[in-house]
Amino acid sequence: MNTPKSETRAIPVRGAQNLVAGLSLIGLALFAAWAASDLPLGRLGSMGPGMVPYAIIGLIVIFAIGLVANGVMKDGEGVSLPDFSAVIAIAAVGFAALVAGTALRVAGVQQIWGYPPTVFTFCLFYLAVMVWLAVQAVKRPTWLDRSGLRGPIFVIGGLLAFALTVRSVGLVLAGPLLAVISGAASSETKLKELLIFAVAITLVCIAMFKYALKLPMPVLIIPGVIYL
Amino acid sequence: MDMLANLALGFSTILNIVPVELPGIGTVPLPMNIILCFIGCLVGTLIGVLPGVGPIATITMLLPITFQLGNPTGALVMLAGIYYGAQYGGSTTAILVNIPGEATSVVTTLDGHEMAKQGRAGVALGISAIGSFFAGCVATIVIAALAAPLTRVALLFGPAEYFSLMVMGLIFAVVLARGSVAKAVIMILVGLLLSTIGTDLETGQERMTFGFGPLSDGVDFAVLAMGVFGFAEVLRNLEVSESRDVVNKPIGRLLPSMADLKASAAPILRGTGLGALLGILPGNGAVLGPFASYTLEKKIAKDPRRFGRGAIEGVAGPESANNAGAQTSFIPLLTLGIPPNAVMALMVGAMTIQGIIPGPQVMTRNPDLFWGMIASMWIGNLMLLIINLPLIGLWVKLLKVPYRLMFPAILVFSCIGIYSVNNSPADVVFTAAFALFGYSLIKLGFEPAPMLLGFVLGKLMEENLRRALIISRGDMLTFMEKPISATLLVIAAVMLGLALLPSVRKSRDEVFTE
Amino acid sequence: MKSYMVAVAAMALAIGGAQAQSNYPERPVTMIVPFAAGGPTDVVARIVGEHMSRTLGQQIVIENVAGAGGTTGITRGAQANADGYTIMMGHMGTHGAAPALYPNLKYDPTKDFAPVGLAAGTPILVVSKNAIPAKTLKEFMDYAKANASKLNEAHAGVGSVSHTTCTLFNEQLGIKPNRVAYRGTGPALNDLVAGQVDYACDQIVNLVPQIKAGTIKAFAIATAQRNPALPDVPTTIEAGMPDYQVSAWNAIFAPKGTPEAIVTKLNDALSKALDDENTRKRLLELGADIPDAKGRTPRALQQLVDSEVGRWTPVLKAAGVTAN
Repeated sequence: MNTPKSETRAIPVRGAQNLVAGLSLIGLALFAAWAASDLPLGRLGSMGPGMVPYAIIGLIVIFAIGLVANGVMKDGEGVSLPDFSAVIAIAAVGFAALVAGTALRVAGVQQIWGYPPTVFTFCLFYLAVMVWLAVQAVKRPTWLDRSGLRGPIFVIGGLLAFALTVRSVGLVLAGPLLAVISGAASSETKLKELLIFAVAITLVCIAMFKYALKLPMPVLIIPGVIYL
Repeated sequence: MDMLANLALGFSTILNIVPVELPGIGTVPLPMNIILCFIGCLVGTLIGVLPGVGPIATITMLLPITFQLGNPTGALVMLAGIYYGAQYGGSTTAILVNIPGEATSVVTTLDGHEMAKQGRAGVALGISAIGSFFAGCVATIVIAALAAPLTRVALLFGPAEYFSLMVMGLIFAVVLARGSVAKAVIMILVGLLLSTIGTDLETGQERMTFGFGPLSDGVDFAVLAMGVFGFAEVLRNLEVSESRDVVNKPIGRLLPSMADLKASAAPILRGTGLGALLGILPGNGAVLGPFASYTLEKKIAKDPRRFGRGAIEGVAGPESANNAGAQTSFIPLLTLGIPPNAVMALMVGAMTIQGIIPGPQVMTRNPDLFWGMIASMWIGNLMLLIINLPLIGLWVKLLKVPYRLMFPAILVFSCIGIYSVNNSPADVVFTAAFALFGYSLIKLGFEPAPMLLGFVLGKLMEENLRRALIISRGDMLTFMEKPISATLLVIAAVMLGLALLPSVRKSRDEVFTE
Repeated sequence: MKSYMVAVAAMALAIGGAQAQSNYPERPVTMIVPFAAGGPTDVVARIVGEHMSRTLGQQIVIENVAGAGGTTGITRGAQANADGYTIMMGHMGTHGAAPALYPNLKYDPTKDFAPVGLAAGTPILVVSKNAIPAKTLKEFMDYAKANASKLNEAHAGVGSVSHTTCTLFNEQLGIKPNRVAYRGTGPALNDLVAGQVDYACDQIVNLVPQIKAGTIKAFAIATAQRNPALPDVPTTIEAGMPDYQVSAWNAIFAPKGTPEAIVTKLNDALSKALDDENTRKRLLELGADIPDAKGRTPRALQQLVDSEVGRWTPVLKAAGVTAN
């Protein structure tokens, strides 16, 4: 419904969107079933924690199969790769980070800068992807805009940067970092304007949340030097 | 007549003028409670208007401020002001940027945001303010006149009745679908599944958390809503520069026209009735009010296809229901001393810290506080109207900010809001994950609104199902033996039957599928 | 006005503090409350914290970090810098029942903290719906034993105060009723008043209004002395269940390794707060128990934590409840 027809790739199915949706849901249901596999079912009189989740998973599978059948037999929307490229890319980064992090842990590394190895490798790989995309933004912006990677990767990157810095360094860094990284998600962004704007809204936020409302939120922490 | 005397006592408490020492000016007589109510409404609106920050988050953030006030009436009046302000602020973001701050404004996004896209944001905000004000006035009178007898209704609803009510609510949810009904049902189921994540209430066992600490309390509504609605919307808007949701179209008129008011009058009345009724129920019955109102309006509309495409009835009814419910949900707290939902539980905290333990005796022992609070509800609603009608112009102008600056600002405000609810960076990471999830769902042709309703009702439904069955020792008949429960289930079954009857279904598909 | 007073107090302290050996605190102190704002622990923390801020001359900023029965916030506090600028309000659950409930707990309540002092205890009451024929605790005990299979007990979720304290009650009574979980005390109380469930154990602050209004019955209070908020309710000792002594206590802890001088300073501030007329009055209104001078010391708190962990672990393990 959100996919312009012109971008639809030729997949020899009549309703590719419903087919993919159905298959993804079956995947989701299987994943949930695996996650819930340790939960006892119990009896009606004292239901275990697993009964309701299993019932829901069962219903999801039934409907998902219906969706798959619908996708095979009836005409419908198509799908296009750029719609899912970012999700696939982030999943790939996650998988690579998991492998590398596990390898580090096996090698005896418990923490890197206070983070578990998997978290650290994820951030590192994600940063690498963002840097590569930033280079592409300069080199071949049209390709990047069409790849579907630009928006999600930079927005999610900005959110992660905020989460990593808000408690350890404070809002003074986390706010502008979020605004500037996520700003790269749009091809219309002008760097200078964005920088000024980022600093300005961060200051507004600090004034409002920290000083007017007195929320316990770190503004700037440099260990041993300053603590605001 | 008692009621009038009581209300008079309430208003005299609120209007009470006290000498206040102002540095540099000297002692000035000021109506402190009115000022506190005004400040509360204003701050509540300003915080509540932050994307994704709903009433619960707003009150949690602002509660400590009221602790510093020495007088209980003032603190509670201010808090009530914050609550209404936050409610209205939440509707504002739902309409302007399509981010619902709480479950009840999910419905508002459906038609309210569509209206904004069509350049009618001002009208949507205006009708929401007017509807809320009307609902607030009615609800205030309902509370003043009927609080005591209505208390008994709250006690009629046990686990079995709740379960049946929630089943009915889920059937309402199907109506929220804008696309195919099957896909809406799937989204409800996914919402139900998400609601089961976290520590199981009955056994304490962790479900689907992978031993990951921050998941042990389950997924937070604000985190889910912010991710699948707010951030996913940002991602979608970034793709195409022309079809941006936060619109660059001409603003259009700021206030509703006579025709708009005429179209909204009946929905406002019906919404107020439904919302007020459901709000009395403990266990968060208020959450169903807007959904019920939307369902009703869509069912009786001459042309249901307009819903989901900017129908003003779809904003007026649910918004009135929302505000009426928000107010009548004070009834169980004020008369029984039992908080029916999370917001009221926060009110209990505010009262206890002021040395007032809410309970059945508050009415007799602190009549000025009790009736003052009820009077403040009306004053608060009036303040909202006064604050917000002029602000509508400002909010709508904000839409003129170019999107390249708008979206980083939305992200920064949202993140600070989400972070400060639990002071937890992990919550920000979760919103990022849900943003991707919601974005993919949209790409697969799903609508996230039914999922949010499934998520909210899922917890209530499972808990009450299990409670009812524990109490009945596993006897399923308990749901049919209790008259209220049985009635609700019959209504639900009839609605489902209507939906499934082949002939009806045909016309339904025409109605619901684009 | 308030900040002016704080400034005056700060100056007075600065002059008086000339002979003190450290100039702690130089900046606001964060107190982590592991529950949402407005709950019983939060209320105690804010009442006590307000007076402590005045003594210390620096604001005590309350940071609510809710989650996993309070263990999320305490975990964060335990891992904070031991410089006295992060302290936390622990309670019976986080520093007594948690090791039994959460096998993956990231802290040890007995070892990973520098105890500062006990702030307040909230007594536990045993209550039932009005339709139960029993009038005294003895009669209720007989009734419960005779009808154990038919009884429904309401509690506010696994790991909550009402859940753990009632686990102990059931164990001492030797009954296994049906336990019905609610999300928080409010809904549980609603169904108790409505008669959907039969009995519950909970903190006094939640129950006083209902008991006074006669919508539920109170059988006994699980403390050594009667409580001024409910003078007619007998203690468990009087009523014939002397071993059932429980209280939902709240206490201040600092991370392990916090310098002793700082702990002493915090303890003094706490003690001053608990002696203050206004603070006492506000705590007593909640039905809280204020510890005497002996009960407020860091040592007394350490002993309390040790004994509480020792007491809850077997009870909860035997009842088969864990959060994982």
